[in-house]
Amino acid sequence: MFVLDTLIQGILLGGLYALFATGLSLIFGVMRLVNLAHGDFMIVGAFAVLVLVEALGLPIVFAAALAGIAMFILGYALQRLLLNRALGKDILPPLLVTFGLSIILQNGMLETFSADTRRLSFGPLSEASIPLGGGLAAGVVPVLTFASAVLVILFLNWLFYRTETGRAFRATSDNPEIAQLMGIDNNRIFSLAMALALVVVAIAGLYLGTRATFDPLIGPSRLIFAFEAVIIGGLGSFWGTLIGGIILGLAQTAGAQVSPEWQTLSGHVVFLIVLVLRPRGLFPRSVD
Amino acid sequence: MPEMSQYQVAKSTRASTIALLVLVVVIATLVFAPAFVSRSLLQDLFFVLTMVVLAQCWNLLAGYGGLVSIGQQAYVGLGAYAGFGFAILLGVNPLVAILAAGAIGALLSVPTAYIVFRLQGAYFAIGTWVAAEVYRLLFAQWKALGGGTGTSLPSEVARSVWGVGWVREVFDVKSSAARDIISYWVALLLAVIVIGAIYAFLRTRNGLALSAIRDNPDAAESIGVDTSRAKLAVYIFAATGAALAGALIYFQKASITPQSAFSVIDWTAFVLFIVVIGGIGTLEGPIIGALILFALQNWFADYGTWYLMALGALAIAVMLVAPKGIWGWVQAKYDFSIFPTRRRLIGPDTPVPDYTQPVQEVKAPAPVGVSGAALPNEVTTMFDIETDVLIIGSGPAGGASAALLSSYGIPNIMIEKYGWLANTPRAHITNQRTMEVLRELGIEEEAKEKSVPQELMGNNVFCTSLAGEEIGRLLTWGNHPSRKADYDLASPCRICDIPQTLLEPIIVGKAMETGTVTRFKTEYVSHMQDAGGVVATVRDRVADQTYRIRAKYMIGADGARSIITEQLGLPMEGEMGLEGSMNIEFTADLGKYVAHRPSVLYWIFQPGSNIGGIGAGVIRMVRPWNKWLSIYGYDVNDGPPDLTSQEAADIVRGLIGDQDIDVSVTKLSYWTVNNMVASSYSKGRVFCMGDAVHRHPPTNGLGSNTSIQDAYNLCWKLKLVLEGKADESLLDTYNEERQPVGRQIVTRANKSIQDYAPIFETLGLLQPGSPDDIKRRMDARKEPTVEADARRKALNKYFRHKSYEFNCHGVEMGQRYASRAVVPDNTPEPEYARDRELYYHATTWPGARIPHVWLDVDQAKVSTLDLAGRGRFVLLTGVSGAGWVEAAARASAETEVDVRAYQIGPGCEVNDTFGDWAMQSEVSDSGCVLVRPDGHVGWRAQSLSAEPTVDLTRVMQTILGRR
Amino acid sequence: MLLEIRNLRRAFGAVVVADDISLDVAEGEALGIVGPNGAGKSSLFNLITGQLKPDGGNILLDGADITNAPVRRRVHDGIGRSFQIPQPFEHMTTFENVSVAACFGAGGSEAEEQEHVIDVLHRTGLLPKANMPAGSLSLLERKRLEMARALATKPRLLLLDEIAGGLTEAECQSLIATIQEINSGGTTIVWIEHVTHALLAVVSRLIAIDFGKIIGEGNPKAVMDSEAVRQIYLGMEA
Repeated sequence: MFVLDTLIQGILLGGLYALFATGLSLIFGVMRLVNLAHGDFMIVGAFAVLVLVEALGLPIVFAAALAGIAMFILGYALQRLLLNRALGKDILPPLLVTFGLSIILQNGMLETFSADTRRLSFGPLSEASIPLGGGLAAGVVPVLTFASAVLVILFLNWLFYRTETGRAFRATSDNPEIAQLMGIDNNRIFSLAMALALVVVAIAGLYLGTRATFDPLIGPSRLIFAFEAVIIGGLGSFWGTLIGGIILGLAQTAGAQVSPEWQTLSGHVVFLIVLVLRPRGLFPRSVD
Repeated sequence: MPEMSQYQVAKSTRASTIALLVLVVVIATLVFAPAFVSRSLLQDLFFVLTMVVLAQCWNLLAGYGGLVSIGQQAYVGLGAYAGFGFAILLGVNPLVAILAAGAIGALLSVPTAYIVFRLQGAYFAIGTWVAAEVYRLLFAQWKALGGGTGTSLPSEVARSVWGVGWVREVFDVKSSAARDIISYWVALLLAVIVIGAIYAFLRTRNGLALSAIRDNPDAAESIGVDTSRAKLAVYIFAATGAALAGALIYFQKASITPQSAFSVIDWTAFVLFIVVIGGIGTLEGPIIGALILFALQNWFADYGTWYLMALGALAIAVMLVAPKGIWGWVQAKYDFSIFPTRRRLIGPDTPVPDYTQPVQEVKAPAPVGVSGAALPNEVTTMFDIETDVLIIGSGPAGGASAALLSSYGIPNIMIEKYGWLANTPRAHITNQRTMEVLRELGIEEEAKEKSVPQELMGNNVFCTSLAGEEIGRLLTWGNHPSRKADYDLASPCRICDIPQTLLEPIIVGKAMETGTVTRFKTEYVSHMQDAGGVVATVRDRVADQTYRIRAKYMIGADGARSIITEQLGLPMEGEMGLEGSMNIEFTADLGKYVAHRPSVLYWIFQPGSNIGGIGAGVIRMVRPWNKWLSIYGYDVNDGPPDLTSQEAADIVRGLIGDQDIDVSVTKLSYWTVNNMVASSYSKGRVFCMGDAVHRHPPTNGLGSNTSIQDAYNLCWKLKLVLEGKADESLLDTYNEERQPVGRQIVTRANKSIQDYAPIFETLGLLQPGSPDDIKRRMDARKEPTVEADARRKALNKYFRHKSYEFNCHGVEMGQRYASRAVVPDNTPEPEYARDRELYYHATTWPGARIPHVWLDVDQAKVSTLDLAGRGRFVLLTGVSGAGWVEAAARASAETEVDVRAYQIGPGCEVNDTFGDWAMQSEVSDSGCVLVRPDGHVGWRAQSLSAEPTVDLTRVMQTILGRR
Repeated sequence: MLLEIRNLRRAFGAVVVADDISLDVAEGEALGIVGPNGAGKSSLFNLITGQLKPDGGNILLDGADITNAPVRRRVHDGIGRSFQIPQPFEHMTTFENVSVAACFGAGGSEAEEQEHVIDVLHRTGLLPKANMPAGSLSLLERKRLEMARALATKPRLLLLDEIAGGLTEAECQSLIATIQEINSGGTTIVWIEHVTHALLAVVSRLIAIDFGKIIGEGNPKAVMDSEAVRQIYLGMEA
């Protein structure tokens, strides 16, 4: 019973981590960029929703939608104006630039919002839960999170494998030079991918904010979870990322039963074990 | 084998040796610094020195080893905790504990490396971060050292540091200050050792290996470098350095918390900034960067978050704008290093470049393939034979090109797939313009000998059969008295009829005689273009071997089934295969039917003769009056019928209208009516001409004429470009000028076919019925009725209308070019007084062909066309045009292109005895007309301008594409 | 026999790059390899150098089985290789490029290998460019550098991968001369090339490969004229 409950919570947590990770996976897949500010953008998303809810009094869903649009534009502009310049053969520039970005975002948010912890709320839904029989229950919000993760992944898979844009994404990721010869504008494709990723990140931020408290400085630790989920699941596969997230969620939930520190630590340990035994992850798709 | 004693390898330069000496002095000074420097400055120096250590380690890892880690804080924290552990829990002297901490760092880096090396690139970076987090979380569990809240160094431990007592006495300071001094010395020692070790390492072959790994790990592996071992070694070194520094730093702080010891901001972010801003991949950079960070920290740290944001922005800016950092800039500008590691080979033939000059990274040249896309390196530019122009095809276009180029002295090779030239009569109408070209080549007389003259060409008979009823007749090819004048006035040459079988040998013979290398039974296969020219692969069908010919330019004249246009992907407008046609060559003595009405073409209107083909049955004269070609159509949808000679002969007899006549069928061939023109005649260095780019039925007799004139237009341009006197852009004008002509004739020829339909209609031949029905309908026009009268008039009208096919003088002669090789004179185009297709309008308006007038040179009749041509420009002016003559001489000298000037008038070299030039020149006596080598007017001036030389030179340069 | 390849097999999914290849290379010989793109020629080289591991079969160098030996071992054992697309260490000078190859391929210290490095630079005509950063070299020079680096490792077996492509006639002649000199010095050469006339000037034996299989072997002219080979080239050129 207890085990089952842990299992369910772990899986649902996995949905959240999958959301964290999918954006990262998307960017890496298309342009081989690891955005060290990924976690911070999640927090930016959460704060955006917060501001829209508090300042404009919008219901949270609308606020989230608006925030998503804002993040789309932000992502597009960011890639177009800044990150495209840093991309190239060398891995140092994008790393450093996104690292610098991370510092700027964290401190910017600190200045704007102070270090106080915040919380988003779905209203009455936040506390609601769905009884599963036998005394077990699953929180509505975690279920929503999980469902959102699945929907996002379904959407991305459809986009990547069944649309023209997706084809361009895949062509560019396979071989950017040839894609250019074929007339694909890499800059535009990359900007689009980043825009998409930030929308996913906004969604992640929304659920992060409703599930637990957040503050300007917790971005990097979320990044680490996202990263671990991607690696565990395997590079190049969105469903793999979901599985990775679930495994991480399970590991953390199990560890949390021991002590709060062991929550994060068990996640790290599982990650390291996977890394040692299966360096390419459990379900790798791409040849990296 | 070079003389080895002449060579030596040096790493240091004089400047660097001096700099190192200076550095040694600086270090010595630093050692004694505690004696004269304040405590707070000492603490600042401590900060800088420890940051330098961390930065140098990170620089070695990332800048030289290519391992970008953002997890070095793991070892800082590890070292710090190990040091504290040894000192507090095991009572080891702090100085020894520092060393032990270093050892721990080294030890633990091995299994850590084992795990994180499984990741690459950016993921490796995050992996190192995760490792650091794991260490942090683990150490936060270590209750003995305070767990999550940390601990501080007990004072007795602090006091037990070796040398505290001695320092206290010598420098007369308190214990804590003494500790600071010792920490400072240890930091200085550590910094010197670390920098020294790295520098020494870089000077060994392992240092070279590390640079190789950074530049290209796969290539390094392939020359025997153990890249994994090298990376591991560097990682362990960096970990050790970080651990030593970490232990030292925290001993100095005397307290520790997991957050602080494993802080990613303090021990990675700042380190990154230091290295990047100072100059990554150099030993000097981290030192400079540390000093800068120190300064910034000092001045701005109070601004908290803003300071950090600014640092972040600064790092981004540096990374994007000046990724080599400050020292990188210094090195690039002054080629100066304090710690030089570059190996210079000094010898008699090994120049040392000026490293301060920006080095051009040479991109390997990418040859361009047929389609224009860059090809990979495998494509060769090897060839077996070389020439200036390669001509594919020996038909009228190819042959004329060859003859013209040879007459201009341009080396050329012509290849022909078959063993001989045209073996079917094919084209035959040879209009005046073409005869002018032959005239220039000096083969006009020979061609005339083999031709049927104009007066035997022109009785265009429309009949039910040769022996049968003549329905109507049209005088054609300038045989009508009123048209004859037009034709005679238009050219020094007369139109005539020569079958292609007889004309081609004359042209090709001339070409070969004057230098064209012709290879028969040589088939074109493919080609590629590169920056230097064209390399065509051809196959010698006799030896069955392929070889390659390299040319600066290639002419694709490979006919209506051209593969060159396919391969080039030239855009085509129109369609092929609209109607089906068969040519039946036969011999028969038809003199009795035709001698009284001599003509080249006899049109037969019978039931069935309107199907397919050109819409009517034709009997064409090949040799008077016994060699003939009959053209009969078939339904193109059914495909060419399989006819026996007997069946073919029957068709012919039907057309002749005599079932008993002796007809001997010699050849049967099929072709289709096409309506196709290329929208562009050229691509790169390949120029297509002739049927390859304009495919149309034989109506109007324009095919070979247009092909030969394509050649005439292009060849002089090739000549000037190959001689280096014109810019390559001149060649673009070939397409600009000839493509519209191609389109015009294709349209005209196809339209002429449609003009037969009304004739058939009016004759009632389009409706079905028995032969008697048909005969009745045809005879209907003989009735005296009003209806029949209308029908007679209609038929007349339609026959007259066929002048558009047979007397189309304007289309034959009236091409006017508009392109960059024609310089307008700002006068409007002269109006067409009469139908522009039927009538040729002579004018000297730039772009038009120079009008023909007869001039007198030493009592010999010479045409304006005779003055022009021969690959040179000609300037015609009047008696008062001496200024232009001088201008022409000067312009020639300036452009190195021959401009021959003629003054026309009494007392001049050329006399205008008929006064025709004065009437037709359209310029005043002091004006001039500049004629291009192809006889078209390039420019004209109404009168002598103020600066004739300047103007003329400018015009020439424009035409030559040089301005 | 210096090199013996026995029933080598390697596939990437459905693409077979080595289809049961067996081949012997005698010491001191100059062997040429031709074949269309994608035929498996470079893959064969990768299998010989160890950059690619076979799915089956064996490779013996001087009798010793090196099928599973790592790249580095094979370099030390005497296999040197130039890349089809030159891979210079761009930020290092030409001299340093060759030096590092000499030190790690042949196994001495910088000082010990110095004479050898200078000699190699001399033979490949790179002395004038010794102090130039490798990134600034022209295409011919980069190709020479590829060869120089391979030579620096003191190979017994030198694998040249399409080294003549993109060169002018004169450059090609100069390259041929260098290669001939290397071969007559005792180094065994196996050379993949598209510029067939260069190949034919040097090699004494020729193999043709297509779809991972050897489709022709023997006297160079005979192989080039064989039906199978002409088929491929016709297909290539169209």
